[in-house]
Amino acid sequence: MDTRTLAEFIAWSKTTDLQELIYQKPGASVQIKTAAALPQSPDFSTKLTPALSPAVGIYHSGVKGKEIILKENMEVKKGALLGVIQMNKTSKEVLAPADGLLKIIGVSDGQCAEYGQPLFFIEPKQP
Amino acid sequence: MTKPANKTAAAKKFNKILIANRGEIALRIIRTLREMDIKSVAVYSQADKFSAHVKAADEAVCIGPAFSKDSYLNIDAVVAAAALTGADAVHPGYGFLSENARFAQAVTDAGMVFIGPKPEAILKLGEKSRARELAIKSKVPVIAGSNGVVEKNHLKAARKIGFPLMIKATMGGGGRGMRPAMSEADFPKALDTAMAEAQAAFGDGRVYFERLVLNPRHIEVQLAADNYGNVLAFAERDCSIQRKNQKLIEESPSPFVDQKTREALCDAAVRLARAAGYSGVGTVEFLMDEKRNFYFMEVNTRLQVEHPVTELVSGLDLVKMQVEIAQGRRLSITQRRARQINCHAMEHRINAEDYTKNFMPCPATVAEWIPSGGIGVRVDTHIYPGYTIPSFYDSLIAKLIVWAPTRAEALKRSARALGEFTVRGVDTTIPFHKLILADTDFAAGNMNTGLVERILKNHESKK
Repeated sequence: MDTRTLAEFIAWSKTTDLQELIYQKPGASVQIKTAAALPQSPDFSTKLTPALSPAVGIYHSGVKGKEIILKENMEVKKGALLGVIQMNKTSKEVLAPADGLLKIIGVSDGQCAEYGQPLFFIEPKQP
Repeated sequence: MTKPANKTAAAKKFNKILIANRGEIALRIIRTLREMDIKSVAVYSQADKFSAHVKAADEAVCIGPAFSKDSYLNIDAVVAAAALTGADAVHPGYGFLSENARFAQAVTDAGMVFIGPKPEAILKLGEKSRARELAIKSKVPVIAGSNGVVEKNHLKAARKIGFPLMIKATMGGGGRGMRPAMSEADFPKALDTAMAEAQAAFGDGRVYFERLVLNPRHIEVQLAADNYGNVLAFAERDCSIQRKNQKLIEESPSPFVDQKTREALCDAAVRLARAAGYSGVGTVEFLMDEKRNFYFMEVNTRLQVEHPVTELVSGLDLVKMQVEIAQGRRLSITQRRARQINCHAMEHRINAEDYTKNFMPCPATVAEWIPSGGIGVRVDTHIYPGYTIPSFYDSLIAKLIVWAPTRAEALKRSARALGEFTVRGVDTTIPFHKLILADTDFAAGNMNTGLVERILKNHESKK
């Protein structure tokens, strides 16, 4: 197939909703795929907001002898206490970063965490 | 957090050590630990996520955000990281918490070994006035001075010390409230200025006096001491090439120090370490005048940046020695062996700074990085191509250390190695090191702590 015919062929294919076209005849073979026919990369973006560890240490769900009961899909308010990270001598609070549903609990009592590690994921409330 | 069972220094070989530092020194320590079959734990701030020391260690823990005070200087976070990873000991490197007695105590209290002197020794030698008192008691020469604040009869006190002298603010620092008086005639004006400046800067106009050492050299002695009273002193390092108290080139042996002075320096340093009950490695810094009289300045109770110079001259691994001392081992080499001079070594500190703009730091992404190599060249660095130098920490990016049989050959080797060191993307102090090497006084070994400023002035006037 000469280039002029090929160009016309491509131009014509754009006027259709074809995604893929294979043309074969002895001595000539053309295969055209439009962008829509190419495999799409999966979308990993998430609407979940992570609650990050504020320090390196051990996560505790109990604060001052009081256990914080956390369940997946429970509603939490921004700033709600989700536990503490105990460093060597001091501790830091883990707080909910947004109003919403607690979708993933990624840490359990007594588990080690490093600074900046995601511990919980919250699905923010739609405005 | 449950505390691990208490481990004493003499109990056993360390299996795992946490390095409470970053950059080139963390890498340097990891290398020795690997040779000793000891696992390493790196700590890092968020800004150091891509640092080479994080990749090189067996484990790595993020301890905080970029600012040092929240990460590398956060005692609670560092000790927590060490306890969580099951480290037997903590190596502090240099800078950051390395000379912090509270940190050494916190590590010990958490059941681990601090690789360095005991907290009491850090306190004894860390405070300048206490260290000076100890030096006097140990018959280590100190610069004649007023031994405390001069409240009245200033001229009488000054005459007793003799001229030239330096008037210093009691609360001083960074050169403020400091004035030299070259003769008695200069004294009244210098005193008034110093006191007024001290009052304005620190809200305290009190001053003290010290004899002024003219054209001093900075000479220091490396020590290693075990827990059984054995103290070794190594051949001196000459660190006179410095700018604003920041060392740029260190070499050993000093081209100025003779064997008799060397013995006297080493013996003085050993006496001071013994008096302080010191263990671990450390450095005693002295000022030396033109007649080779030396005076105690201060003690650094840690590994020095320039320790590789001594490693090359002695052929001994100082980090390994530190770890062995902390494990409770006795020093196994003789004083004679420690002071043995096997070569001449010279270290060039390569900083990410533009010397033409008053040594302004220039953190940026390193586009090309080809360190020098070949015979007699060691490069301690954490830099790799594509690495972005964070702006939060000091600007040291590499230490180029050369060694050769003689100083003349070491100078040639330095020039060759600096010439082939290729860096693109960031400005470095490599061109300035070349300027120093080209200076006739430096080449002749005729230097003092003022030489760098003179080289800079000469360079400016030629423009």
